[in-house]
Order: sequence, then C-alpha cells, then structure tokens
Amino acid sequence: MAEKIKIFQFPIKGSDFDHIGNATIETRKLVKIAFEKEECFKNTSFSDSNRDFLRRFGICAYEAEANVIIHAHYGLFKTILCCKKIKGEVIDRGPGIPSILNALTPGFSTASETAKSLGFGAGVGLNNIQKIADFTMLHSEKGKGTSLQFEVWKAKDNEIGRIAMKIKQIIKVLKLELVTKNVDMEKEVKSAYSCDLLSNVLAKAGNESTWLTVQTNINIIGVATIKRIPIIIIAENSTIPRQTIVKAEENGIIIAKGKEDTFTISGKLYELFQKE
Amino acid sequence: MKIKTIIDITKAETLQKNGTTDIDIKYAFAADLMSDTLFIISREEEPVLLISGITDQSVVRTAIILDIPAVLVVRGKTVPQKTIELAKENNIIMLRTHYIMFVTCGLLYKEGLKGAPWQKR
Repeated sequence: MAEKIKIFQFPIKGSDFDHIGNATIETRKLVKIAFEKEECFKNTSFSDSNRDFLRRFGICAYEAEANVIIHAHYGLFKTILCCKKIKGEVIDRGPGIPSILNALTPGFSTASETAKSLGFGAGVGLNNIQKIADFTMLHSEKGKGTSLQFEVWKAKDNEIGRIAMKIKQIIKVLKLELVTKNVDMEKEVKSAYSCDLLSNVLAKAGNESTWLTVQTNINIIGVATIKRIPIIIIAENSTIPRQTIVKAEENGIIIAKGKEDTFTISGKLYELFQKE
Repeated sequence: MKIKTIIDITKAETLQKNGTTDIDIKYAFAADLMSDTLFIISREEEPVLLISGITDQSVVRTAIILDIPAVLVVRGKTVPQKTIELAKENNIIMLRTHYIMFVTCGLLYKEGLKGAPWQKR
C-alpha cells in the first residue's frame, strides 16, 4: 500500500491571546477528518486508539502553540501526518530560550502577567510535551528564535518488547543503597543504558530508562532531566557529591549506589528485565 | 452523575446547553491553570467535568482538546459572550455556580463524583 503523508500548516501570531489554541483545534479537526475519511489512515491501528492519540497530539500542540503566543513574535505550526506517527514542528522568531534546562524545570516560567491571568505560564508546558510525546527536540538561539519538534507515535509501536519494572524492585534485587530521599519509588522503568559519557547518554539512552554510570558530578542530573531518566545507578561505590544529591532530590530523580562494577550490575539488570 | 444532578447540587445555571446532556459523568477536575489540566487528564476515556475559575476562551479550547463535555465556572464570574459562543459551536456545556471552587468540589465529591484519574508519568 502506498504511504500517504498529509501536511498542515498554520501561522501563529505572538501575543494574540484571543486566538490561543486556534491552530491546534483547526489541525485537530483536519487530522480527525483524515482518520475518518482517508483509507490509508483508517486502516492503521490508529483507529483503536484514535481518541487517545488525538488527545496526546492535541496537548503537545496546544502547549507548543501557547509558548509561541506567550513568548515569541510570530511562528509557524506545521503538522506532518503519516501512517505510523504524527509530527509537529513549531518554529518561531522571538527572544529564544535563555536557559533550556531552566525551561524544562517544572514550575519555572517567564510568562507575562497577561498569560498567567489566562491560566497559562504555569511553567509546565515544555515538561508536559516532553512527558506526553514520544520524541521531542528543542533548539533555541538567544535573540533569534526557537524550534520545537515533537512526535506522537502509534500506541502499539511504543509498547513492543518492553516490560515495566518498579524502581523499588530493582533496588531490592540488586541490593543497591538508596542515596536520595523523598522520591517516588513506585515509578516504573522499562529499559536501561550503561555509559559514562554524557553526550552518548543524551544521544542514545531511551527516554525513561535506567542509567548506569560511575560519573557523579552534578551534570548527570541535567542529563537525566532532559532524558526523563527516573533513576541513576552509580556503580563501584563512587562517592557522590552533596550538591548532586540535592539537585537530584529537587528534580525528583533517584540515585542508588552499588558496590559492584558497571559490567556486573548491567548483567544483573539485563537478567532482571528478561526474567519478568 | 447526570448534568442535571450537577446543576441541582451546585445550584448552577446553564449558560450554554448545546451538547451531550444525557452523559453520565464520573470524574471531575478542578484547576485554573490550563497546563495542569492538559497534563493531568491526558489518558482517560471517561467523561470528565472541568471545574474552573477561568472564563476566557482558553477554557473551552482546553475542553475541546481533551474531549471534556462540560465546564463548570465557579464563584459566579461573568462569562464573556465570546466564550459562550465558542462553547456553543463545539457542543461544550457551560454551567456557572455561585459557590467558590472549594465548596463546589466538596459538594460534588460528597455526592459521589471522583477525582479524574491520571497517570503518574
């Protein structure tokens, strides 16, 4: 079957608070029509999870659009719909994001009072997108503008071959020592990645996976935040600086320490994910 | 819980009645920050009632995006005509009560409405 791609484009005007959400709603309508009328989209497994899929896309698009209206001068919202996934691209001309790490921290906002009075600017927008979309890419240049890309995938592709495992369980079975306090141990992880080079982790580690490393400097928390890694396992009993622990607790990231080396812990983790 | 029951409990008035009135609402969610709403009711199919103090069009747009059938405005705020029109076009029921948000939530909870389920992600 020939693959079909549909592209929708809408312009967004900065500070146009009266029409916040319009581009999203119009795009949503068009996507919905495509699902209902076009054979190619109808026959994919989208139809089972159509509502959920549309909603996830809607949320990401709405947040992205709101960001442009709140912060930028003008922008373009482009949607690419194909059989397996939907991709949103929001490019704007504006002030750019001064600190991406800050922007990704829940609760941090530089939105104006006008935006806040309308119920926006809670500082969770980018975080929402990151959590809901299956793929996000953010690029910003100070004084020039920002480009945000996100993808929402067909639900089934997402779940194949992954077994969820509670963090609590991992810590117990691997006999790790918990370093951070007041963190959510009920969270589930589905994969793991072992590496000491931060750039490799940024590029290759799966979102929401376990990260195994001997690095203990404060930068590991930044990387974990960006990749939404809920737990970092420190191998070989390396000493962890106080500030790393504090930063981890602030961001709700768990740090656990193991006596064995990376190879051994990796092996045990691998077995654990296989066994379940 | 039927829309009519919600109206009775919160002594609400109907601002916009076009929509699915016979729907059985099981869950509610109260927030003034639309981003919070977007995050929390992200995955569930059940009809949800949105309780909010926001009267701007953004509340209706949020409802559209999340398939929320009804919005309840609290503290008797004046709802702009534009908001009502947008709700009418998109079949979203708009209600208004004079109770403050806390009391509205309390009354509805007491009568069996549950908090909207959400996934910790």
